[in-house]
Amino acid sequence: MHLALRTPLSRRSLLRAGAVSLALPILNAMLPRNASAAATERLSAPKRLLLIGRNLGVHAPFLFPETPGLDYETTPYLQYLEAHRGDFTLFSGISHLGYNDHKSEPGLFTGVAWDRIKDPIREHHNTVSLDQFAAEHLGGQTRYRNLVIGSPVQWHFSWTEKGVPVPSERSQTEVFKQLFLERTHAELQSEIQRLRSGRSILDQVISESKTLARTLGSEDRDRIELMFSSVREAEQALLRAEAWVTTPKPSVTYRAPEKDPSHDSLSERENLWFDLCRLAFQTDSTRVILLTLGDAGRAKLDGLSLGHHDASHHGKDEKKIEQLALIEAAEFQLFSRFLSQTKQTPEPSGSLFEHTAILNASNLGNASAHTCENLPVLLSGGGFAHKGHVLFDRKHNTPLSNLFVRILQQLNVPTDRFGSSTSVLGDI
Amino acid sequence: MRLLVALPWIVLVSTPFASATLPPMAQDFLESFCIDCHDKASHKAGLDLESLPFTPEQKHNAQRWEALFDRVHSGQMPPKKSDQPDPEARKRLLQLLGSRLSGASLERAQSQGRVPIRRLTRAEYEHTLHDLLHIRTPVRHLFPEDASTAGFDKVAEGLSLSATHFAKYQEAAELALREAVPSAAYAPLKISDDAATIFKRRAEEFKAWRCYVKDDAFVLPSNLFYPYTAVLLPQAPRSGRYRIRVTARALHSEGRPLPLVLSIHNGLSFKPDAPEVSSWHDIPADAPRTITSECVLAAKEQFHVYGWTLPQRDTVRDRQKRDNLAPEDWTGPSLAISRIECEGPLTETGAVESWPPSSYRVLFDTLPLRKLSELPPSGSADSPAPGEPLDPSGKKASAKTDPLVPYSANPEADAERLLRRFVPVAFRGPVAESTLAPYLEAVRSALAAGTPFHEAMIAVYKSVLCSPHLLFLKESPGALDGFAIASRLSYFLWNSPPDEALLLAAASGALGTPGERHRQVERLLQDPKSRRFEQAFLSQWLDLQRIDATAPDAKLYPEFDRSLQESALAETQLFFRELLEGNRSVLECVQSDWTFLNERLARHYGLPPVDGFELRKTSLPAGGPRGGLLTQASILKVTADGAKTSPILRGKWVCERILGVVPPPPPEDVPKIEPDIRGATTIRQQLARHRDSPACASCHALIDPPGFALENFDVIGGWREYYRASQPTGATLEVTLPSRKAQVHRGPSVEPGYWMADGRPFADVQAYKQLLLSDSDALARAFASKLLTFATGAPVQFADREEIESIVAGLREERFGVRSLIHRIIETRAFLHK
Repeated sequence: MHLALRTPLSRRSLLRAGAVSLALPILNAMLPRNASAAATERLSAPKRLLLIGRNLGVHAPFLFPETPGLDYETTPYLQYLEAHRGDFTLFSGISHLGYNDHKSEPGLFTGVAWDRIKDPIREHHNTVSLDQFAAEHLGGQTRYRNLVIGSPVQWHFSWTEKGVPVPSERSQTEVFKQLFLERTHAELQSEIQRLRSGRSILDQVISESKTLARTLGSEDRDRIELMFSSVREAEQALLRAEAWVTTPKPSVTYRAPEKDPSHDSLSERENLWFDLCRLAFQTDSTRVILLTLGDAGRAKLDGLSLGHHDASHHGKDEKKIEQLALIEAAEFQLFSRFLSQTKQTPEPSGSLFEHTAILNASNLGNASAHTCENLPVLLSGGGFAHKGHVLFDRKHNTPLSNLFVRILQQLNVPTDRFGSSTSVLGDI
Repeated sequence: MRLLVALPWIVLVSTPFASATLPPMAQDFLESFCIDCHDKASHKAGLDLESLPFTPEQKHNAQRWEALFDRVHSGQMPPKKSDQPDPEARKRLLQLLGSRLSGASLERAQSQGRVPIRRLTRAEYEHTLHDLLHIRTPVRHLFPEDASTAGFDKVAEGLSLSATHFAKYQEAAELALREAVPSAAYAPLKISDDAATIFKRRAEEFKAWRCYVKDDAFVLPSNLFYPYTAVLLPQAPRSGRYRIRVTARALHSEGRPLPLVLSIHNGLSFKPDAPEVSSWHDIPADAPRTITSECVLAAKEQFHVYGWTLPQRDTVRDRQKRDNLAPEDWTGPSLAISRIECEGPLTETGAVESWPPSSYRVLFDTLPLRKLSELPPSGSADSPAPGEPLDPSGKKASAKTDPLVPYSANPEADAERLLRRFVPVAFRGPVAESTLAPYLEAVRSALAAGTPFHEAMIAVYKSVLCSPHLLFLKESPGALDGFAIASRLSYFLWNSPPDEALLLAAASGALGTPGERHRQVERLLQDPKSRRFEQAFLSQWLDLQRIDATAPDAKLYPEFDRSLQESALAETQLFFRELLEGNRSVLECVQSDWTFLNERLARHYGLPPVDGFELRKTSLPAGGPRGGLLTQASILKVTADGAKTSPILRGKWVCERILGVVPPPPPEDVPKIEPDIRGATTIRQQLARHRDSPACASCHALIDPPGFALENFDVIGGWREYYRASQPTGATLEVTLPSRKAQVHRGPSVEPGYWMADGRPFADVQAYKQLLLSDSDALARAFASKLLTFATGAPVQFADREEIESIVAGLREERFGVRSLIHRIIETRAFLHK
């Protein structure tokens, strides 16, 4: 009783959570807010993970140098990252082995065997993506376990362990609102009530689905079973929201976006996404973000007359490659700006940059040929011993999942395997 | 040990296949013609017939054998260069394999259902909330976009359910309930403005815009038409259907009609440059015309009345000259509006809704609404007469501080009564006591805990609107019961839940008879809600949802404007409606001697002039390229980007959507060839390079013909003999704009014509259409497959093929009528079984 009075979480809700793997956060939420572990840990700068997914590849000849190491010769795209030489590692000769075509999207961050995802109409053959897996370990102490944001791709980048795709929030104004806009007292009260009733609705969903399942065939019962995993996840999110609801949202000195930038305003849109990521980390609102960038359409850029999808399928036509380079050069510049800004964001020790592993990758190695070998994979920040350019065998690629294991270990996630890993990447 | 090793070898000798359950004849065939490439060692295209068992009762195994069946059936396999089976052997294999696969497919459908359990799409969920609660609040935007599988968002396999969905159902339900139960009284919108009143609503602006009142008419001059001279009506007090009536005539228009546009604006996001056009109306010059339109407005949205700028009709362009004129002396085209009436929200029958609105009565019947501050403390026995009428004008409370809430003197009894009434409708069928019990219990315990009646009820309604009974289409394996058929019919033809009449037909067992189903299909199609079907089906089948995806390059296509896009979209919608209402032939999707045109489209197509902006059915001159869907501007626009066309994209689009041909993906063991189009200057040369590579050629032989047939149409659907270039080429083309001529750079000339996959040549799009029409069954089959997929939520399966064939055969007798096809679809085993 005593406990229930002092804390946002009742014991009933604790019991209800049952198997829910929120051990730490629940304890955390049950502490008085001023002594929360989050506050204590803020002093020692938490580790974060930012995954940036793109689905149209990067023109390889303009990206990859031939020389390995920190002394790589610069390339048309790497010149934009010159200021960050030594602070990132570009991998060549890395990929998910056997992947093929646009349909590789769902595997980019999960790394499952190709056979399990190559037919998108067969659902639930995917498994957990790197962001969701990391969030299981890093996501306990923040207002949001993790964020999945940015322009949605057809087959999703973020997946739960059961193979349910996690949709991406595409609205920047909505993300800003969730993270930073404070509610009035009345709004808070109704929010609290909404969260409570929300959980009982989910209970009802579960029990009704069980009854419903009795009239179904075995395949449908599997589908219902799968749905339960999503309901339980929704329940966890409600529990967390309840635990946080009375904690004021962090205030930031940033002009709240009034509307979402239009899809053809490349720099405005990507800058805003990057700013939101930086602010979310800086305020410790979350520690894991998957950001999807890109738009297949035609951006407003000087000299650009082709859409991104069109230009990426250039068929070696030089004019088209020039067009593609306009888009990709702009993206590298925006990314470089973002890296600079995270470096300039101070933390109790060092900068945000040093505590954030930033992985920028695409599921296509060569969009024009629809191949998935030699993926563009660039890792920066996160306190790795960056090597500039790590050159693996471009004929016999190194599994990208091995890098994922390395990243997880850097984040203190105790694991020695992920996806289709064969070992841990030791080069950084 | 020795024995164990030897055993597989023995088996291998007697039959090389893991598919030992295949009849010997089939095994012989595979051994003679397939095994060389598809054995364990080579397993070309990933197919190893030595190891692949024949267990088609398993879905994934069946898919492999079905793919094999299709390759042999189409003649793709065995490859042309290898030994060919004699036709009789091929036929026998296909019969044998086909009947086994079909049997297995059917058996799977019978044990599991051919459609996996599926949730409503976000559009269906929105319509469901709207129809249940009699509201119009948009909620679909809250949800992530539903994936499109096999061309439609209704296909169960693609409809995933994430944690986000469960959060959003609650949000949407709350939003809907908040709209349904008014927290303050409102006055319905009811205005009838004469010219002077219209002017007074925005007197300052209208004066500045040189509008004036003369002869009982409010005059909008066209030289300053939209966006300046918009007449804005008051905001809608709540979401619902509203009626607007405008009486106007055209002035100084040389006897021709002028367009008047009714659109809707949301006060929060006023976008003067991109109005959402709702409807166009031709205002005649000779006498005033009264136009009436009904539209759904969300709360605070408002009607917006204006004339579309018609630069070609603006006779005076000199601003100075105009400014020296008194407004009344301007002699350019103008709209003279004599009256605007507007009322709503309306009930189903078209009357203005009374207080309290029907959305409230659905949830709380005749219980009174009371101010929160005036409620007796919980548990008190102070009870007003039930159903006590409320005077809306007497309730000017602030909705925030002191909202109106439903009041009950007998909370527990009322709660039970209301839930027993509402839940079966929400769950689209009878509800077992055990299903209802938890809802009753939830209210009871909330009331017992001191929760006020209105809060307890809203909470329980919210959980009803988030229930799996509502979110899922409940179908058990086997023949569907009447209620499941009712839901299938209504979500097919309305994209919304069944209404009372349909549920009654289900309850009486009538839906079990073909006669009643026929009657219901007719009734559903005649109901305005069938627009939701047209909208949902067309936006996906023909990709019309992408009409806005690309903006044509203004330098290359200076003649493009918003009115063209709106007209093009309307043409396709009206065309489809005519197919449906007139039971016209599916084949008219490829070629028709009529279409719907207005002034703007007729000019765009280079057809004889049509006066006015309302689209009307028009006969097309014989022998021209237009007619059918493929050559409509909307289709030509969605299959191009804003700057250029691609025969590959258009070809693939036509294959998948009209011809029902889905080119198989390139085999995975063929090394990827990076396309190299350098040095190829024309698209024809670029594609020739595709054709020269055997790996590319097999699919491009299918994809390219329709693409080239449409090569004479530019990105906005105009006819072209030359491409347009973004850089100077030394030559120019003249483009006719409404009020002037413009020049664009002329590129290379278009080479019309190509040849079909089987080698038959065609000279132009007309000839291509004739070749398509020579296989009318294929066109009907493709369209029937699309409809069956949309109607059932599962793509066509092996066992469905036979049914599709018999539909097509029957339909031939009915001259391929689209409406007849719908009747046939709903009588299939696929439609009437899970």
